[in-house]
Amino acid sequence: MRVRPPLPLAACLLAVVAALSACGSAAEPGGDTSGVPAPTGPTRPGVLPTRSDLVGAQVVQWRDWRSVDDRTIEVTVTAGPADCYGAEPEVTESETAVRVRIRVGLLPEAADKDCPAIAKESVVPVRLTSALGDRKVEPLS
Amino acid sequence: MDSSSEIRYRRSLRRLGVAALAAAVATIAALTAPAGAPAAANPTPARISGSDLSTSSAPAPVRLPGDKGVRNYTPAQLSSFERTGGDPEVLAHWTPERMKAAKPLDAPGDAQWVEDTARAVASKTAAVAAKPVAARLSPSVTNAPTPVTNFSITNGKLFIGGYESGSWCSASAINTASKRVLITAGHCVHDGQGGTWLQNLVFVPGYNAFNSDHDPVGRFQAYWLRTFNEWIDNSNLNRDVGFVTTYSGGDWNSTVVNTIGGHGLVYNGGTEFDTSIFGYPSNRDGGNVMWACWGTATDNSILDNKSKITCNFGGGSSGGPWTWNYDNASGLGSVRSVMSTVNSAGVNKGPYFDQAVVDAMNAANADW
Repeated sequence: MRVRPPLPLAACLLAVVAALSACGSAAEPGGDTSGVPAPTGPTRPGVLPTRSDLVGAQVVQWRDWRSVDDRTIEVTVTAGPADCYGAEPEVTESETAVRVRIRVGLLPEAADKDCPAIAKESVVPVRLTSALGDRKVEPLS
Repeated sequence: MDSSSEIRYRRSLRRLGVAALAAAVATIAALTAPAGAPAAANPTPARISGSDLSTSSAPAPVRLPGDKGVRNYTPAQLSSFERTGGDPEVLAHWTPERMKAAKPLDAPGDAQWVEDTARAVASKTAAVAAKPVAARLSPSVTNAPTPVTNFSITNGKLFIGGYESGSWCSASAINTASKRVLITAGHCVHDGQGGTWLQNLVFVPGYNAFNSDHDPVGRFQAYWLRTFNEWIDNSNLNRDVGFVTTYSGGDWNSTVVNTIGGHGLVYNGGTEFDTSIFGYPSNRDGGNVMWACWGTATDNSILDNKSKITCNFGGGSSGGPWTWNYDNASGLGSVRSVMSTVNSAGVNKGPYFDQAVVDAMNAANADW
């Protein structure tokens, strides 16, 4: 199943004549790497990097949250892949409520990149200044 | 087929229903071969990149909250699921109540639907690997409303993590012999290099969260996943094509193609072609309803094997079909690429379909 057919090499060599650059991606390393489908197992939503220098950041509606520890909650949003997108949380705290707003935008280093156009459920860690306690967590509007 | 090179878009307001299915049946005779494609198209050697053209496959992993790991099914259970349309616990778990609208990530700037500058690239005639076919359900068992649009439930939303979860792609049915194969992006079935197969895939033809009935013809649970090793091992976007074989399912417990019809698939054509693209981009109505974009796809670069078009379709549109010779009456066309990427300029790209894609489709067909 993983045997490399000779055809690509031949096609590549032919392509060299017509356009040298056509071999660029064919020459990518790792073609010999064999592998099996990765073992499957329990998964968690990925963590979006939190950044303040995002490109074109926009407020997104978050779906859910959970407490990680006394002073950290994780908020669930849908965004693109974590190597292209990041989040910028904004929090206001009162005695009765913790209000959270999440902005999602492109990482500056991904601004000129082609990013897989998948919608991924991801979590954004949000730090609190005091323990969550019994306070409500709700959207900051 | 819209022959204009101007790129336009619209969203579906209604879903395809019984009349369109009937129309599809009526017009199928005219679709035995995509118009304009010589039956004996002479496949010329593709520009191949990515040296490993074989594919890998795995059963679609299933895991519900509370499960310690992925569910392992016995052959007897799998056989039973064929009758029930999948693991009943998985199908029952994901209810609308578990969904809150996932608010979209809007790509910066809402791009103008610009006309791509045509490039003098190969405009080879594509060869036919699969012909489109209409749904086989008799109209008497359908009760969908009369359609007013040409949006086709041959396309749908591919939820990752269960029905109405916050992760998704787009997909469409392909007419293969098993009548069970969907085509999507490779990254919609596997994370790529260093990653794993994705879990709990559920395909919902014509998904529309703006209607009271979100799944007009029901749901199809994934049975088997398949994609290129070149994607799995190297995340090579030139091989970002995936296939999902589905259990019988939907409202009539039938195969997916007999329920919603199936697109054809063409390959070895030029990278420049008129196309109609369908999907569920999160930056268009939150991915809650099917959108389409159509125009002329152009060659991306001599450096790779991709076509491009400026649709500004964001996250969630991945895997949606780039159809060629799309027929408004039947809602069917031939898939010539699938949505792969988007960039900050709103340019979408899709991989080139060559013989290796046909081989992968045939392997997926044999997965059942």
